[in-house]
Amino acid sequence: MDKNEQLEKLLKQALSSTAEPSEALNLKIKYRIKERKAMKPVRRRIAVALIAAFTLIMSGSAFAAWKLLSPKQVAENFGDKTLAKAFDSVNAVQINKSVTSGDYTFTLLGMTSGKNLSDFKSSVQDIHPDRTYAVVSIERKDGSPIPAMSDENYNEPPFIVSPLIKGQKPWQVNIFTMNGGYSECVVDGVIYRMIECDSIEMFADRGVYLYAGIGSFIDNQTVSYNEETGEITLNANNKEAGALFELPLDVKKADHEKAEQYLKDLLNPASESITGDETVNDSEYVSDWGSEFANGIVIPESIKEVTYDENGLACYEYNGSKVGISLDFLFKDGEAGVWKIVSINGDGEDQIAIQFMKDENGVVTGRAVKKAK
Amino acid sequence: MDNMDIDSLVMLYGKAVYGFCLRLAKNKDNADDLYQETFLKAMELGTKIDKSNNPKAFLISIAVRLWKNNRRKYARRQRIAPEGELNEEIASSIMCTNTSTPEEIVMLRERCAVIRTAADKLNDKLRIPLYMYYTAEMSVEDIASALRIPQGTVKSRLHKARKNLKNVLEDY
Repeated sequence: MDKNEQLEKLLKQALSSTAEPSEALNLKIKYRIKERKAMKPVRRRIAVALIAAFTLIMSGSAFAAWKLLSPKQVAENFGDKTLAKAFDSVNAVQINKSVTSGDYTFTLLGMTSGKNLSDFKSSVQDIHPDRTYAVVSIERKDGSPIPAMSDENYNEPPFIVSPLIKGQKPWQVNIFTMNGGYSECVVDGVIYRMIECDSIEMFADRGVYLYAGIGSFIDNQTVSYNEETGEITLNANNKEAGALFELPLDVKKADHEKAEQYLKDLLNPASESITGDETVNDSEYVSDWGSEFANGIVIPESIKEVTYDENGLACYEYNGSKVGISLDFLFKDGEAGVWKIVSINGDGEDQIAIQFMKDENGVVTGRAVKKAK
Repeated sequence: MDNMDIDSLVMLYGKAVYGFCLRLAKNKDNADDLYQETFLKAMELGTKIDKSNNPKAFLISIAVRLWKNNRRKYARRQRIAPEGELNEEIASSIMCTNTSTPEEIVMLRERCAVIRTAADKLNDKLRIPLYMYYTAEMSVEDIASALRIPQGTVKSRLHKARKNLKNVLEDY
């Protein structure tokens, strides 16, 4: 055997591998493939309570959304058969209106409202059984795919979709305050976001918008509010992509008195009182969302002081969950030592609430509380 | 076209792909991740996998692309969880050789360790074809096709890699 042959043999011995993938790893791959084939993109539900806001700019024109999934198909993808049927009923509105802004095209595909329309229910529906569901798609203008949910670049940039009510300040009345949430999937490089919130039909006589754009909150950088007319428009100075749709609601479905009462309750929220450091066990927890976290477990490493952005919003981030809210409506004058839920997010059973607390010195601290099972 | 399902792909090529991923990624976590993503991506592109079209080379080429695309992510993890389990796997592979005396086994192990360390330090242009050739046991033609470079370039890179490793061994 010459030297080259010896080297060759040595290289084969040194660089060959006897390692094998574990059976668990192979099973995991098969399971994930089966899951994908079942056309069930990851279900992601995020519900956020209290005041927040978001932003954006738009320019562009409407065009048909022929290549996109229908709201019914989106609901089916989330495994919500009841809602899929609802999107197919006469009460549903197929809208298919698109707006291109910045690098993105936002398409409002359709919406529906009513009681018991979804297979997935939360305690909020015991208080507000009438819910609105709307589906928005988000595509890149250049046709390149948006990263899948399994991609580390997913959710960059983050998007927000929220109903806004004419005559109401957008930073006060939006998806965060209207017991809203969303499910999202990415199919063929297109984001489909299905939002849900308390029914907006009662506001049909006032005018309702749907905002979709880059961002995590709704604030005066995103949209402008005309105090005199109550009109909401996109903030022309905003550099980020965004669209504002006017929703075609049936005025006959408006309920002025109910809407007034709803707004009154919304703008004067009952206080959720939580105290204690390790577990949340205060029985005076009156919020619908709060009750689900009454025995939640505080994540010690999540406790930290909030920061403030240039708009004065209190910002907090833990493990990818970002919150930016105005504190104006969160704490009553002189209220100290009370933990308030500002957002709830997570996946199905595995939910985490972000809470803020102001101490007697005015320092606001945030923390994450895991929902007890 | 005889499209292959995931069971067949894993059964026939799982070991070769995993060995390659392990060598490339240097630690088990990264290798598991890369291996998994490789098969998921392959199934996404399922219509292109058929028995007559060299599925192993196709899978390895996906692994290489994923590796290159996610190099930063893997590098970050590598800093957090450096090698470890890989060494056990290598030790066992050397115990299976037919070298006769204990001294020779020790010497062979040492030489193999030197080669692996040196190979890991090569740049990806040399390292990837080297692992494709020796670990995944691909032909020069298949490597050229997978990396979309001429066969002559593959040969030249393999030659450079061998020369480099030979020099390291001579210095050892």
